[in-house]
Parts: sequence; structure tokens; C-alpha cells
Amino acid sequence: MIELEQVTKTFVAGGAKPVRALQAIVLRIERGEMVAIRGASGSGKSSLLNILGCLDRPTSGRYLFEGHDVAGASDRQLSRLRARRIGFIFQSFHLLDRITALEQVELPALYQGARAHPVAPRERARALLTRVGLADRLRHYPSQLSGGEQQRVAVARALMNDPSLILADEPTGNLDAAAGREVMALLAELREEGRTVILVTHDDAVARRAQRQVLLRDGNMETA
Amino acid sequence: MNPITSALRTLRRHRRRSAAMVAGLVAGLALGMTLASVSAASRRATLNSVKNMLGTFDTVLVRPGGGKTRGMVSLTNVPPTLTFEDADAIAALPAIRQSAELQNAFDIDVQAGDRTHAPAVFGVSANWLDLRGDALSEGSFFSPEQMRAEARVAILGADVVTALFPNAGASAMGQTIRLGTVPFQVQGRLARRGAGPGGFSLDDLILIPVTTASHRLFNRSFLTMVVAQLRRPGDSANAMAQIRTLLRQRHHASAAALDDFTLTDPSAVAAQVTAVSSRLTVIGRGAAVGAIALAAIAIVALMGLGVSERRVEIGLRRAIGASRAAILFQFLLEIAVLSALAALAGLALGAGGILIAARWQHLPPEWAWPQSFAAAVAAILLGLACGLVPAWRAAHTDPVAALRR
Ligand SMILES: Nc1ncnc2c1ncn2[C@@H]1O[C@H](COP(=O)(O)OP(=O)(O)OP(=O)(O)O)[C@@H](O)[C@H]1O
Ligand SMILES: [Mg+2]
Repeated sequence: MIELEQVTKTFVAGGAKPVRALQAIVLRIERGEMVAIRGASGSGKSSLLNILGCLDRPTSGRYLFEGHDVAGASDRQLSRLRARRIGFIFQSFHLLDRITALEQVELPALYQGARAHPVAPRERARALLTRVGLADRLRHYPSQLSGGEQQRVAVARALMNDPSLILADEPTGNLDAAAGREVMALLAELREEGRTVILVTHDDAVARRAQRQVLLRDGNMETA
Repeated sequence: MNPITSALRTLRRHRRRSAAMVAGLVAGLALGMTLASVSAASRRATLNSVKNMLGTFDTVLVRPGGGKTRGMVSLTNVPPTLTFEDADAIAALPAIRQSAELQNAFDIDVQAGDRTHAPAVFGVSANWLDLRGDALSEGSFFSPEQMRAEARVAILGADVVTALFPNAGASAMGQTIRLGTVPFQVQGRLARRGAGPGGFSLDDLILIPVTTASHRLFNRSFLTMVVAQLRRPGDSANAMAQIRTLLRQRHHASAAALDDFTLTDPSAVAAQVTAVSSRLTVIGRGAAVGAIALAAIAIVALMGLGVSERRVEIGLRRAIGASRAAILFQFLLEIAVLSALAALAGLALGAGGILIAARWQHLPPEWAWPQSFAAAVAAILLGLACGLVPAWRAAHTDPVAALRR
């Protein structure tokens, strides 16, 4: 499902010394696996996740996602992969201001293209929000939702395109323990459905729910 | 949510900024429309009033005296150089169909019963009515016999009828009026002509036979004006050359002498009068262009600001599958929708402006919808063009950087 070969990522910020965020990453992840990426702050976890999510390209090396060569793909091809195969969940939720929960979840449908879906986006969004336990929060704005509820809206949004890969960057980082457990329970459910789940976390309890842990240190991988 | 409703909601969310972006477009469009209408209306009104005064543009006006005599000429303020014989000779020129003779004065008291009034008094030839295209609303014009007999008969303009015979029931026809001390019998009434240039009334006049005027009223043998009708419309340059040669010859002017008469081409006069209003139009057009230029700057600046503020949104949209092209399209769609709304508002405001200006000008509104719609489309295209740079910047926002907390 996912194959990284000697992937590196170097950030060149104008004038400053280049930052080698990832160095020679070699990683294979099978369909349906749940993998936790751990490491100190600045060790390259988010950089790796962004590459895995086709939001960024490796500086060098090879990345095969479901057989597609990501390093050489065009913006349009990468965008299509994100739109149809990948769902993102962020630590700070990244819900848009002043649109309802229902509309947040519907949003990805804008970019799924002509792929005919038998069920209207609004209905799918309603079903997903019901699934994450927010059936009575459909018309709520982000400012009217608790952190845990916002993150569950974000999970529903990530599921809108029925992705095979879920990427979550510290999904429980901004939540209290109870809300964090709810979100983790949802992610575990997704894995049981056969989706691949890759999450970045600092939390031991969260990491233990994954079958596999990847430890990053200064852009290098140490398999735990 | 489809892209257009999504764009509308974004615009509504930032409604103040959106309004500031396109206020110039709205104002420029409305101002341009209104001014175009105002100047077209006043141009038409001026042409109409000049036409009203002259009856037709296909004439050359011949007046005595070489200097540019300003205002209305009168027997008391013109040199006695233009004669009845000159008028006949002008009528015989190949470029001229006919000529009408005119003697006029403004300082004659007219009396009817115990009422007095001081209208313009015009001694005119028998072809006056035909040449001007005027009509009588009552009675009959001077016959050749009356002209020969120097009959004391008069035709009254509408204002004179009102002034001297205010009783609607009592007809002026057949009544006797006195011009100075000379009694005249009213034998007709002119149809109302309306206002001339500057708005003064063209109905405050009395027509009498020019022969009567010359011998029984003014005791002058010269004319204040000859109106020469062109044989072919638009032939005024040629006709004026012929008249000039003829009159210089008849007046024995030496080669070095200046003309002792003045020729006027009415269409040239009309063009001059309308040129004044078009100078105003140029200023107005400048203001409209300025407003639109301001809008262009506002769109580039404020839309750029919006792109900076919406970095996280852009990053999020990219993460859920938006390509760069999709982001570019989204922002261009937003500015297109906004510009279209602005264009509609501009058209509506412009239409309102035209109606208000028309009421204020006391003129019928001049609509120019094809031009207005073309301007509206141009405004939308301008909005799109100005939005291109910010939209391109939005599309090239790095999603990874945008989504880091
Ligand atoms: N866009 C960028 N430009 C320059 N440097 C960057 C950029 N993104 C990341 N870096 C640098 O790359 C290194 C890895 O960053 P990354 O965000 O992947 O770390 P992380 O492991 O996710 O850290 P944290 O736990 O704090 O989120 C850091 O030193 C960071 O400063
Ligand atoms: Mg990170």
C-alpha cells in the first residue's frame, strides 16, 4: 500500500541554512495497518505525514502510494489522490469559520470530481456525522462545538471521500483525556473497516493502540 | 454546496471588504452611465432648441454687418447694408432653393384693448412659414396679394395670444391690435414652437408682412436677415461661397475690404453649442475612469489581503483534494461573482441616476442599454483581470506551511 525508499526532505528557507527534516526514510505500510509515528518535536513527523498524504513531495527518494509514483506525479494527479483516497485529521481541527458541521463534512465533495456517487453529499455528510455521534449538532458552527466535537466533525470530514488512508497529526493533542479516547476509538474503528491509519502522537497510551510504532530522531527512522 | 453559493457565502462573510473592493466599479459604472445620458439628453435638447428656432438646418443665415453681431439682431442695431434686392439675388443662386426676407424689432409696444405687451415683431416674406416648416393653429398666412398691398394683418405667436387675449372664450381672430400706433387685424395664430437655445420662448412674437413692416411700420428699406434655403441638404459650404461672392460683388467690396455681412451655418452653430456640454462630459468621464481605476487598486490590494487571511482555508482545501487550479478557479469565481453583482448594482444605480438627472434637467431620459451592458461586461472583465494576481498567489500558497498551526 505504502512504500518509501530512501525518502529525504530538505527545506530551503530563503537565505537560511537548509533544514534536512527527513533523511533516508525507508518504510513499508500494509493496507489496514495502524501505525503510530513518534519522536521529539522537530524530528520530522509532520513532514513525513505530509509526504505520505501527497500534500508534499519528497526532495529525493521514491514514494509509491497504491502503486502510484508520488514523487513524479503532477499537482493535478496528487490532488486527485488526496481527494479520493486520503483523509487528513489535524491537531487544531482546521474547520472553516462560520459554516455548519454539515457543510464542513460536505466540503470534500467539491473536489471529488465527476465520480458519480449514488448518495447526495448532504445525505452522506448527515450519515457520517451521525456515525461520529453528532446527529444533533448538524447545524452547529465550530464556535458552538467543544474541542472533542470539532475533532469528530473533522473525522467525519476525513471520511467523506471514503479514503483508504487516514492521516492524523496529533489528533488528540488539543483534547482532554475523555475526548481523546473517543477520537481514538473512532480511529480504531476505521482501521477495523480495513482502512490504513497513520497517526502522529506524543501520547504513550495513544501509541499503544497502534500495531506498529515508528520512531523518528532528527529525520532518521528507528523502528521500535 | 455548489461553487457559486460557496462563493456567495464567502463574499457575504466578508461583506464590508467585498463592498470596498467593488465600490469603485459600482460608482464608475453608475457615474459613466448617468453622465453619458445627461450629455446625450442635453445635446439632443440643444439640437432641438436650435432646430426649433431655425426650423431647419438646411439653410444659410445672412445678416448685415461684418463684425460678429452677438445676440438677436434688430433694425436698430444693424448696418443698412442688406437689401431686398440682395435677397432676390441670393434666391437666384444655383445652390439656393429660395430665400426668406426678415425685418425684426423688439422694442415695439403692442396693444389690444387695454392690454399691452412687447413681443418680438417679425416682418416676413410670404414663403416664411414654408421655409421654416412652421404651422398655423388657426387662420391663414399672408397671401401674395396681401404682401403686394402691404396689408395691415398679423399672425400671433402662442404667448402673445395668451398675453393679449387671456379670455379663453374670446378668440383673437379678426381682432384689431396696435403695433405702436398702427392698427393691424389678427388673421392667424402660430402653433406653439416651445423653447429655443437658452430656454427663452419662441412663441413670444408677432408676424406681419415684410412689405408692410418696411413701408408702414419701421420705414426702413434694409433687412435684418435673409434666410437662404439650400437646394441640396448639407451643401452649406458651397452655398456660402456663392453667397459671399455675390454679395461682395453687389456691395462693390474691394479685394482688400472685409465682408459687410455675416454668413452663418446653423449646423456649425449647433455643433458649437453642443461642444460646451461635451466638455462637461470629458470631466465626468475622467471621474468615472478614476473611480474604476481606484476599484482596480482596491481589488488587487483587498483581495490580496483576503488571500493572506485565508491561508489556512486554502491549505485545508488543498489537503482535502483541491488542486492549484481548483483554488485559482475558486478565487476567480469569487471575484467574478462579486464583479457581476457590482455591475448589476452599477446598472441599477446608473438607471436611477439617469432618471433623477432627467427629472432635474427637465428632459426625457436618454437610455443607451447596449453601451451600458458593454460597460458592465467590461467592469466584470476588469474585476477578473485584477483578481488574477491574488488568485494566482492563493493557488500557489504552500499548503504544508499554511497548515502548520
Ligand atoms: N516549511 C518549512 N520550512 C522550513 N523548515 C521547515 C518547514 N517545515 C518544517 N521545517 C523544519 O523541519 C523540521 C521538522 O519539522 P516537522 O514539522 O516535521 O517536525 P515535527 O516532528 O512534526 O515537530 P512537532 O512535534 O513540533 O510538530 C523542523 O526543524 C522544522 O523547523
Ligand atoms: Mg508536527
